[in-house]
Amino acid sequence: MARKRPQEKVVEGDNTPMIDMVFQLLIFFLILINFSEADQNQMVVLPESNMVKPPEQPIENALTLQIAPKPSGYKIFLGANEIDFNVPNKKNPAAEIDFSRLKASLKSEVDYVVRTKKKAAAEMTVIIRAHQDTEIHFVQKVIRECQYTGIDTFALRVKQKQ
Amino acid sequence: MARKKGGTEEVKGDMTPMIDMVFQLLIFFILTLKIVDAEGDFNMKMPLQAGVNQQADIEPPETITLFLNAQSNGDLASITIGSKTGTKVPLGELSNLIRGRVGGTGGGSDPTVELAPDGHLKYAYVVQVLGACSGRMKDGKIEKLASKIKFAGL
Repeated sequence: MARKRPQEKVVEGDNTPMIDMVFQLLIFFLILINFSEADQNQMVVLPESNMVKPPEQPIENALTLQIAPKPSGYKIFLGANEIDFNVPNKKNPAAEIDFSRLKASLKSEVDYVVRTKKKAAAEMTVIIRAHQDTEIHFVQKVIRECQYTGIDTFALRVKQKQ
Repeated sequence: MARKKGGTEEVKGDMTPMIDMVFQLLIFFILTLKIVDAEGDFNMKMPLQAGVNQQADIEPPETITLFLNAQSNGDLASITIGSKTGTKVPLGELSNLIRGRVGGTGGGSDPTVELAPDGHLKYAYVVQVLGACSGRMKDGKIEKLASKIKFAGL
């Protein structure tokens, strides 16, 4: 009797659970991803406080102003603008910091909101994200420049301490 | 010729390209994921002091002025009340002091806290003082203290 030749058989495992898991992971990362990197800056290390909570809803008509340190002073990020400041050292405290570029940038940002959203400058808020080692005098001067444009509400952004 | 009876045949699509794509997407999202720390705000209302519209008959609100004195390296040296040489308050005691002035939870007065920091003081210390003035932790919850905080001379 002729022996039957064994047929080659491909053994396939069931892939369904793996695909299910991969989809679950994909959805998890899709939800978690944060595209709002516009107001994040790696150069800015925010100070910490346990007295703040994340805002329940984003602040309306907000301008984000970031103050990052650099070797000879500070760098301000406002919208798409980067403004460098050379801060006089302590040996020469009388030297004034030139805020004219910040003034012009603030004015154009405020004008844009006033024109497009029909809001007054007084209805706007400046979110200040300043590096933790910034001299407070510089932060105060920046606040003063904002006040000159008519803005009087400020949000000092800090990292929430757990 | 007799026709063969057609059995029910399962047609399986090739899943390989889809799984490949899903893995690509998964790796993309894993690599681009950035865990962002929770952030919050200290809200301050600081209008420009124009020196006008000051009415003499309106009693000025109670103001607590805190002087934040800095060391030469920008660290906090001491906190004094009223003047640079006034009573020293340790940072840990500041919220108790503000609470005493605010009048507890019974809806007492709401004094304005004015901060007068030395120019070269680091921002992080000002935030610590802001935190101590604006609230304190009690039984794991935030107890609100002064709501009106501003910088002196601004």
